[in-house]
Amino acid sequence: MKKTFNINLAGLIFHIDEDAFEKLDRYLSTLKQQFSGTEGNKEIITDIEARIAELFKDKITDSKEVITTNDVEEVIEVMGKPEDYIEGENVGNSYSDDDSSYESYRSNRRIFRDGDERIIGGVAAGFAAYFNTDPLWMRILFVLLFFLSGFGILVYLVLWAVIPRARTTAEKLQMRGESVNISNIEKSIKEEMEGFKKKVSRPRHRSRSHTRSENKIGSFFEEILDFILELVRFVFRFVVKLLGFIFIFLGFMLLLAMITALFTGGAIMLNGNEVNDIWGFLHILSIDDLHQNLLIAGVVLLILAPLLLLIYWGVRIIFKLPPLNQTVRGSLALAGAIGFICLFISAISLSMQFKSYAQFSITQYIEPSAEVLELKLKNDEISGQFKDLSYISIDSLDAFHEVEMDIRKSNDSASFLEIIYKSKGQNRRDAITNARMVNYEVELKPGEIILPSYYTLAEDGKFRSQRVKVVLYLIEGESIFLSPDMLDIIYDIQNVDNMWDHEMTGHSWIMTDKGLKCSDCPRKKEEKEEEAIDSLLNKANLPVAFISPVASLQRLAI
Amino acid sequence: MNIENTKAQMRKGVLEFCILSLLQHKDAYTSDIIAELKQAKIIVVEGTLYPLLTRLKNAGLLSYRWEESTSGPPRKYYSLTENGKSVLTELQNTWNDLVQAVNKTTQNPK
Repeated sequence: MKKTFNINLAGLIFHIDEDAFEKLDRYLSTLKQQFSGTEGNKEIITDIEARIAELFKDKITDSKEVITTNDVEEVIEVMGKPEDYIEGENVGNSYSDDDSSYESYRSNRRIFRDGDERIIGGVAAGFAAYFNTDPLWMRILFVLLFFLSGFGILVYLVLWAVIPRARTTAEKLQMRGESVNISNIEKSIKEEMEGFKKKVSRPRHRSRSHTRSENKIGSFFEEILDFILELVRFVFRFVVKLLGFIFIFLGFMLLLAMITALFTGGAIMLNGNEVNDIWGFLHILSIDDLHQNLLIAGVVLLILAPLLLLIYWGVRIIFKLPPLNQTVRGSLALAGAIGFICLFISAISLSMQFKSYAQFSITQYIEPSAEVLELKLKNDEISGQFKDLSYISIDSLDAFHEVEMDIRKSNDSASFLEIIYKSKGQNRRDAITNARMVNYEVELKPGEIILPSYYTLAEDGKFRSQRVKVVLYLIEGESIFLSPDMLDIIYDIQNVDNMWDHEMTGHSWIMTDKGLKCSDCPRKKEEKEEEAIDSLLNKANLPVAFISPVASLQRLAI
Repeated sequence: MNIENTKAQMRKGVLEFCILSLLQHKDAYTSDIIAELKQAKIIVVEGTLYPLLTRLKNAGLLSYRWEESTSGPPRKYYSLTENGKSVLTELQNTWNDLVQAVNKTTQNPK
């Protein structure tokens, strides 16, 4: 009498003898081990199982319902031994490096925890297998470490957590440094099965078994530590999934931002200065429409691929998807590359537009007057809008906050205003043309000079980093008052009092032969101190004659 | 020098060519392919073929469809793809050249 199992092979049910089952199971496990690293391994195994089912089917008759060891052996004969499979599998490799790769695999001994020989976590047994010594020596070493310092426990725990346990037969073979070939795998599986059988059939009353008491300690620690490790793994997995969500979220937000910017033109940072209207700015920056489109296409294409990849990574982490296929990756890379080329070409052609520099200036004389001349900013609708922006576009008017003001001494007979228009361009002539696109006018009223803090660009003008500099040349004796809002445009005005720009506004200034001097500023603290010292010294000067020993001697001599 | 290994390598090289040739004129079940190859004594055991077929399929040279079978599990019915046909032509040329070259070298030793 024999026990039989029911097995399901490719959807068909077979009755199979116990020992025949074991043989078949071993055969299939060995094959699975062998193909575990091959692409499409599951499909191969399924195909093989289907074929075995076909062969079995032929062996079943009305009078013989059970698959026997003989049948399995015959089938294996037909299908071939596991080694024969590998022969077919190696076709893909180039023949020349076959041997060397095999060699390196053979010598590839790796550290694993040995779960079969463990007392606590199998770390010592793993090391013993790695160094090819008896686990006892390793255990003594670890126990010594425990007692020498508590540090040993920590080392053990870290090793336990870090070193993976040898689970598959291949890993167990690698642990022992045996080559992972089919006969070894088969041998190892056989050994394992025998060991398992022995364990099952081992009489329970083998009292005070050495291994059993050891394993009890082991299982106690194991339970606690496995729990902790499981917790750590859980937290880790959670963090990874969270990362996936962050990727997706970030990717979608950026994508959304890009699309929004594409249709409405949001705010971007340019040169550290915020610009409120990308489209408007792009329009006056670009050479022509073609160039503008090239620039936009470049930016979009360049950003799109990484964003989509970011989103896909997130999805992949969370749902464990396979990597993107070649076509998709290829087209993403192509899109990025095209974007880069577009951007590169437009950047080069744009930089050519900024190659040369030129400036021109106009001069306006100021009627001499007895009053103090007040300098103030033009206060209109546009100037209030700038805040921290350096470019704004209002009602199709492009305004730039790029005006600078200086005050110098005039060597002429009258005070005058010089307005310098600076610009860049392809060449000097182009730069001058660009500079002429700047609209900037200073209002001269009796006793007042009103300066706008911005310039505007003519309708068909392009932005070529134009700047306006206003220089007020004052003759000696002429006075001005710097209105507080002038702080917006004055830049490093030289003055006798060595005051900073922000200290200068709100005061009256007079041009002296040495330079600009403040006529109503409170004296600085240091100056007061200096003067105090001066006056002290002056007072002290008087009695010097009496104290001086030379003087007394002289007097005695007389 | 492992003579068995060399023999195996020689067989392996032409095995793919043979499989593609078999499917040139008619589609076939796995078991048909196996039977033909076994008859021709190109393969000894069947196992060799499964990884090979899967690899050829993954490489896009073969495609298959499932066909119900009255006597057993559904079976794969393999056919040659367009790509497979062009590869076959290439292999055919290579084989012809090789046969000529080998014959020349082995039959007229100088």
